[in-house]
Amino acid sequence: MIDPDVKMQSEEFARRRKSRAKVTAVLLIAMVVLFYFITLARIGG
Amino acid sequence: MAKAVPAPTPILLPADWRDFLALTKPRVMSLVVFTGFCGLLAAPVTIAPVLAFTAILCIALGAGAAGALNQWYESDIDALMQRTAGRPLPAGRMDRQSALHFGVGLSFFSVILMGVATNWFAAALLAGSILFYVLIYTVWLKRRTAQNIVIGGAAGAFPPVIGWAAVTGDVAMLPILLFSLIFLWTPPHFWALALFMKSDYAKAGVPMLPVVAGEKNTRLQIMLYTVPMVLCAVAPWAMNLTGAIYGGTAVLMSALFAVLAIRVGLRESVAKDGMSPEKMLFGFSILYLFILFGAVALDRLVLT
Repeated sequence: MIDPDVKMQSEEFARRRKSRAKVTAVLLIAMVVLFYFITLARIGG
Repeated sequence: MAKAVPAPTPILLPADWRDFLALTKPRVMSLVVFTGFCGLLAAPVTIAPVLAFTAILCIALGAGAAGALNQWYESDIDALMQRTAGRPLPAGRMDRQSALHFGVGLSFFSVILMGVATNWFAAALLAGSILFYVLIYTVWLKRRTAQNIVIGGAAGAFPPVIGWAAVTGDVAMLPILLFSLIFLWTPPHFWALALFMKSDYAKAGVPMLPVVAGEKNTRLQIMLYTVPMVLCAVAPWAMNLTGAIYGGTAVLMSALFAVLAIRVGLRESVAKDGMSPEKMLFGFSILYLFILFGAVALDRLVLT
């Protein structure tokens, strides 16, 4: 039988990894969009 | 006899994204971003809104990176002070290597993004301010001298200059005066805090002025620094670099600052003192900077 403490920690580990992956993905997309608009602004003078 | 069951090895949890956010000192960042934004607005020329937004974002990220590196280096003394013991590193919610990687990565990213989006002069100023805060203030001065925040205050004074430089590509008298204003504001602001947090700093072995030179000397120094600070606050208006909105605001707010500083300067704390004049000066000093920089920006917007 799995120790309830270890099970809870494993679930928390997975939850945090998932949450960090989501935040990283959102930030990456935001950066790509930002770079697109920076390029447009720089080209536009 | 029952065999002892070994306790399960705890799993080292990865730090939550909120811990990374806390590492950037968001509350300090708000003042940095605001003064940087006002420096950008005060410039006589304009840039595309997306580039202005990116410049402010870079100032915020740079400040966050400096905050993260500061917390990485100071985790030992942060653990000793009540005010900072709950931070991610001393509280054990994050390992030191993650904090270091995060701080260094964010520093490079903010400087390069600033260079690409605006100009490399602004990027160099941003890099200089991060290095100054981390190497000169955090590593060199903070644990060695009571003048730590006097010289280290220069790091926090950079944002309006960076904001101005991001737009114009150079530096002029107005951003230099705004730099000087924050530089001279830093000692009374932090010494007011240090007066009512003296025991915390003493416990952590940080040589803040009240710990090293005593309360009386600190109170005198607060008054002495307030004089050039007030002159610097009024100078942009006196030199015709700003209009009446800023001038009136600066005179009024500086007079209030001076009254509070004198009140702190002339008193002596007693046993079980609530230190309310010191707390009031500390709180007002933050409001003071927000309002003065807001007035600089408003003045420029009204004039144009």
